[in-house]
Amino acid sequence: MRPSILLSTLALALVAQATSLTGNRALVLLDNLDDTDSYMELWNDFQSRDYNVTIRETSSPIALSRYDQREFDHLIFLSPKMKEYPKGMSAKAVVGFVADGGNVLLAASPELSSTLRELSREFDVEFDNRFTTVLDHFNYDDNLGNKQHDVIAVNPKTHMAKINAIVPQDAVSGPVLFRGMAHSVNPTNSLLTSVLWAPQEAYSWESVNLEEIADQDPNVSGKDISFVSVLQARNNARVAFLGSTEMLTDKFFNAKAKKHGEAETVSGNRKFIEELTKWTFREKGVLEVVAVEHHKVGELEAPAHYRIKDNMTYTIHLAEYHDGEWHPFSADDVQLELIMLDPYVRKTLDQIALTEESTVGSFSTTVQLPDQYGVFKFMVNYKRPGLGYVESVTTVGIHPFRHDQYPRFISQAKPYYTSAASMGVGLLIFSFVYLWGGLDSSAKTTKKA
Amino acid sequence: MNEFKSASNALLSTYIKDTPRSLKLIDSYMVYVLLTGIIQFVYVCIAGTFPNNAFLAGFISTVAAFVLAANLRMQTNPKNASQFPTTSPERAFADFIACNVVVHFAVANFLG
Repeated sequence: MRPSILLSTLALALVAQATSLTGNRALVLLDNLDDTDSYMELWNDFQSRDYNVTIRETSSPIALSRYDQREFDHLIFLSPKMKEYPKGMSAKAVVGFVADGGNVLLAASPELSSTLRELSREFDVEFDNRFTTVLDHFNYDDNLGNKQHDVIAVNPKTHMAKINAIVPQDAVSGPVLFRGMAHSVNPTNSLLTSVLWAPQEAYSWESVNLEEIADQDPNVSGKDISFVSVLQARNNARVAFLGSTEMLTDKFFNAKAKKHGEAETVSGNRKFIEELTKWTFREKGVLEVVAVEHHKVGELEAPAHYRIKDNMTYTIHLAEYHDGEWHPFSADDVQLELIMLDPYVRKTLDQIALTEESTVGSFSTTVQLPDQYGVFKFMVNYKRPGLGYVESVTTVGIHPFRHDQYPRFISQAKPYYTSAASMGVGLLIFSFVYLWGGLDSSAKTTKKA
Repeated sequence: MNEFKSASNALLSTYIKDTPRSLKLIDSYMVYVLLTGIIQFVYVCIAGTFPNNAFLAGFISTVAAFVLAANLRMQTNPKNASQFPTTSPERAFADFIACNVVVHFAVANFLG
């Protein structure tokens, strides 16, 4: 027991140092170590963000965890051709790695192996058939994709998700270049979000015989093609899928992007990948419940229990992590629910105005408790794409009125009070009259024997 | 109509002539209780059942008083003497008072 506590304390210390909340140990898998040179800019970028990057070939044995502790915090697949997992790794191990809080980035290419295809399927992401590539005869890049129209210049203003927590709209200035494979995400899976998708004219076609005429319907085309999509698991671990390993290379980072028919600019790949990896490695968009307060109106302390129809104030303090620090969180759609099996009350919380000294975002509201007693949950269930999930549950008891807490001497009930009193008075008068006037004569008549 | 009139007149005159005074007294008390109960019932139909406990207390107090008065009348009626050989009118009245005290305790508790 003691060594494991020690280890976790050490792990916490590491987390505190790194910009990523998960940790700074990253493992990169390559098909061949010769590919290392193609990603120099990416390694430099990771280095400047304090990552301790380990680069391995898929042919060498790797242990993702040892003694039930993760050996790495982030796992990056730049090995699309990987036919078999490295010794010591498996699909189960990767899923377990995510379940254990590790983050995964998986980049594909037209040579994507069935091993990685099946791994993606575990996360509801379906890559197109092997040796297919995305083509677009209208939005191709004039410099790199002139011949085969397979390098697509994606306009981040129109074809990137407007989720500032992942990639802010104004962060990526130039078009993002993409050469690779299409994938589609299950639209019913609320954990998955498409971040970058194809223009309407794009389609996915076999890359081996590009000279031939496309005489069949492509498997996937237009906006159904995702280029980059992300998943945030229920434990807030993050997984990113990229259809292209090439969009991470120095060549694409430094390329001059020139969408066919438009002016030449600089490619937005470097900035896009930087923001995407920041999000994937939990450097931003992480939410934390700092504190929850609740009390009756006019009081300051949380009571042991509430009474039905009490007016109470609920406040939740949320902080958002980005740029290596915790900041106050701002939103206008945080809701409070009072639940006993069903929600009895659901109300949007108002944000208390932030000041210079604010370290947390405070959201507060005053509600009247329902006319129903029992064990209730005060719940804030805030799940938005790109942001860490917030699920705060406070269990409280709501009591009925005590017998002496009911209203008394209600004017509407006065006839009943009068009637009950008149029954008593009537009984007294009747008794007097009966005893000193009535009973005598009847006693005479009933007296017998 | 005339027959009904003469019949009711006969009933009334017989009642006045033959009924003992004590029973007449009980009867008038019961009429008073009955009217109070009816007024409350009309009121609850108009005003609604909101303080339901107060209505029940008030209404039940009249019902109980009526029932207890009816019992007293049965037990003190000379014509029923053969059915209650061991119950003297004094004993019947004492029972009546004891029961009424219990009823009024319950009513006062329930009135709110």
